Amino acid sequence: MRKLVPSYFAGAVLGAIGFFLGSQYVTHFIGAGNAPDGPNFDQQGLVIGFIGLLFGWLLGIGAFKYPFSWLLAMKDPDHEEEMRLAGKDAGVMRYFRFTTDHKVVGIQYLVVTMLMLALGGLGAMLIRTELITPGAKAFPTGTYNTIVSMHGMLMILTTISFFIGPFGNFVVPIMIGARDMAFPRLNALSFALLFPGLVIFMMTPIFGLIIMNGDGGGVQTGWTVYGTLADQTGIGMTPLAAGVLLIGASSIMGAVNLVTTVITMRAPGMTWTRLPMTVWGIFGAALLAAIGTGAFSADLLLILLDRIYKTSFFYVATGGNAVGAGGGSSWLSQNLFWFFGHPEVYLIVLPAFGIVIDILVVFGRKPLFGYKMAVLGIMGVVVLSFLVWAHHEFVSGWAPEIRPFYMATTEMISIPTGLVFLVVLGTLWRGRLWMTTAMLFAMSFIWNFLIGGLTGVFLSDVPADVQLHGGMFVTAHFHYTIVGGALMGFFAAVYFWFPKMTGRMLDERLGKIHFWGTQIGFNVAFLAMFYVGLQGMPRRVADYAPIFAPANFVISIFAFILAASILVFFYNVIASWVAGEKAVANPWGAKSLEWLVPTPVPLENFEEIPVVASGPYDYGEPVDSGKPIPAAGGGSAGQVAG
Amino acid sequence: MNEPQHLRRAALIWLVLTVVSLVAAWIIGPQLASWGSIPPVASNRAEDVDKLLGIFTLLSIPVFWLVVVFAGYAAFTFKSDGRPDRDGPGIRGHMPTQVTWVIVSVILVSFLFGYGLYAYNSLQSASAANTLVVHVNGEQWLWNYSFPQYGNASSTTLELPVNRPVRFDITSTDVQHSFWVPAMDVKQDAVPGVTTHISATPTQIGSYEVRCAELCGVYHSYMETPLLIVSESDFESYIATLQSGGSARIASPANALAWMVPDADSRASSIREGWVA
Repeated sequence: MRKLVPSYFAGAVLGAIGFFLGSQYVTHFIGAGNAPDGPNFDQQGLVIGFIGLLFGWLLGIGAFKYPFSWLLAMKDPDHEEEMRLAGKDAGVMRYFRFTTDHKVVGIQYLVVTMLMLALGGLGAMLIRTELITPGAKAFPTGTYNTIVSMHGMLMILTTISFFIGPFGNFVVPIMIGARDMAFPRLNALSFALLFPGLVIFMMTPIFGLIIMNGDGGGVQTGWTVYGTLADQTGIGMTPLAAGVLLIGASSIMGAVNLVTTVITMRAPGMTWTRLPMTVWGIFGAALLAAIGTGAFSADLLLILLDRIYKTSFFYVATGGNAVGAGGGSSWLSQNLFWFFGHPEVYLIVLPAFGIVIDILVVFGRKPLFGYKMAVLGIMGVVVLSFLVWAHHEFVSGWAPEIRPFYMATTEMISIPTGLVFLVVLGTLWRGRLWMTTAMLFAMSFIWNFLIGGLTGVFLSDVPADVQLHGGMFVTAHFHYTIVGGALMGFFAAVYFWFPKMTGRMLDERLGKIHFWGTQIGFNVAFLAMFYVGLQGMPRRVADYAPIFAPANFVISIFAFILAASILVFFYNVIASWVAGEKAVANPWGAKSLEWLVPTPVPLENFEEIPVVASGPYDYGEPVDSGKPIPAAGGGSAGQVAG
Repeated sequence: MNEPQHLRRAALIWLVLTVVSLVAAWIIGPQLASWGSIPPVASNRAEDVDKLLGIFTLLSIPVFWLVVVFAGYAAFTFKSDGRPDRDGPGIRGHMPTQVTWVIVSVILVSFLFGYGLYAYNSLQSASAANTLVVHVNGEQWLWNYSFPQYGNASSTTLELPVNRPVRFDITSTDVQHSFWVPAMDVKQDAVPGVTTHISATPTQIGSYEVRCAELCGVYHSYMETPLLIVSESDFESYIATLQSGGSARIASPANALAWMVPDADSRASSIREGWVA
């Protein structure tokens, strides 16, 4: 019993009590139901319940212990106490409470993001079940829209956190030669907010579809939550907005922490030009998350205010079933959303750029081709991605005069992206390619992201976008970048770092089955989706005209193959984690710092902080025609001195 | 095999695949509309944009094969059997290649932008004197049309005269919709509180559809109504019918709720039938 307080179990119990007390407080002391002209008490009750849930949870897992002892002016924690907080001698229980060790947080993130991936994938399967034949047969249309919205939102939240969370936390500090993140408590808090955020988010179908409104009560908006519709949609919108707000806060905390860590915690000698590309990619993504997420949080907050207190930020019409006084702006909602929404897709894919490059180097046994070019590519994307968001509004009617500007910036972003492609090709060329599962996934990234990128050029063009916007072509395009790009990068990263993170090897044979199933399922399904998009099938519909039927049947069948292969992946992860082959410290022959520490990684990573004397890419025999071309961070002395 | 031989061989594969794909695209492209692979081409906009999509496709073919051939060639030729026992050459960059790559991508992007801008501007041309103005008002979940030049005659089905420029003035009464005529390449959001515009000239008589392209609530899937492009005289009689109050109003799916049957399959088809009532 002593062991269970504080822990997630105590957090779950206190969270449930907090939710009950919070929501009942509103019902009993403030009001119930919906006042026609006043606040919406149902939703107010839910939101205050969520706040109760959050506090109960944080109390139960032990997050308040140190803030309170600091407030009460007790003595500052000494090193011994810090180590206890980081989970020293806590055994497996350290994974089930508020623990500051970055490796524990990384593992927690890995498990939760995979759970989110499974839930989002379930949504995709429900969508494809509905669309396998014409006619809204499987679900009523309102329920279908809710599934579409939740699939979209959940997958975006997953992909935002599945690099920064597991690998940003576990791998990056070791890669740069640090003992932990810059702010270990903030790090633990960022995970501690993700989990209740997810729980609140998953209340959407429970309250929206089951308890309160029936078919129309879920979320009708899609993940874009455009204000006019978000204000009007059923009660499911409230848990969705509140949950995503919380996950957004978690994401900002994680991002700020990573940016600070990379800037300030690098070991002596770990210069900017010796950083592995993984660190660059995650660093760029963290910058985007730290700057961009706030706009979306503001958007969701305004939606909640509109819905509960009738503030009318977004609602325009008056009379009828209008919400509030009217006079709002739908364009405000679109701009707030896309100012976050577009950097966000680069946020998802930048870590994949870095990780894929690193994996190609390790399994190609060749130095990185054009280090500075790769850095320029990633940072160029970071800068440009904040200047392109209005290409999502080419048909919105907003500010037609500046469309050419956004067309130019959007097309310009293909230049830094193109640099990354040259780096990738140059690194592969004449390497000694070791085709492990991680390498296969990294190589599939090239094919998939190339298709995603080239189709993006079609959409960047204003007149072409007018036809393709809002259709299945767009859906196929961004699935090629996010699933074909980022998710394949994630799989590559899992196969690559799993031995370091868990001490066990993943099964390579199952890995190959997973790889081929994923590639075939994904590519056939989404190439067919480009086809229906060109035919003119709109996005987010439960029913469609007969002309789209053959392609949709193909998409659904291959989507099921894709899902089956991902089940193989989950089985592989669970089985290997429990009883896989034991991993040695450096199974791949890699040269970055995380492979030079023992497995399992000791609590403070390094006995002594290493002094770095060379870059992570020192592979290679002398070139045929003379000496190797020197590059930044060159030198071939021992990796770690001291 | 030494380095130049690998390079020459990969370049040759790239060249062959590119030429074959370009020829195939050149032959297949013009047939797509007749196969139903792209929407019918029924306006000047649609003609221009299809040309644009064709040019983008032709441009992306060499780029696509460049990356695929070189990565694929490396994957097959430089594969090591199991764990490599030695490293590859220590190449850390090749300045001429890098510089060429940047220059070529800048040229490609400049061309894309220049051509896109030209196409965009030519579609924004000033409206002709005989332009037909149609007020479009989105509503959950149907479209209302009225013709200000014809005494605000109004309808929920749309007919347009062929070869006469049309300007759509679009707005919405409730949430954001998007007015989409796939065959005419017309798409413009219907934003509550503001009026947005888009122009096109229908060029082919026929029966098409108007769709909502922005998720707008429970029955968004069914916000789909017919469009007829007709001769000038048929259009006059359509307007005359509207002015005498003789138009049949399409039932919105929302109105159809009352007579909806619980079985989802027949419900879907009844909703579709509801529009042509």
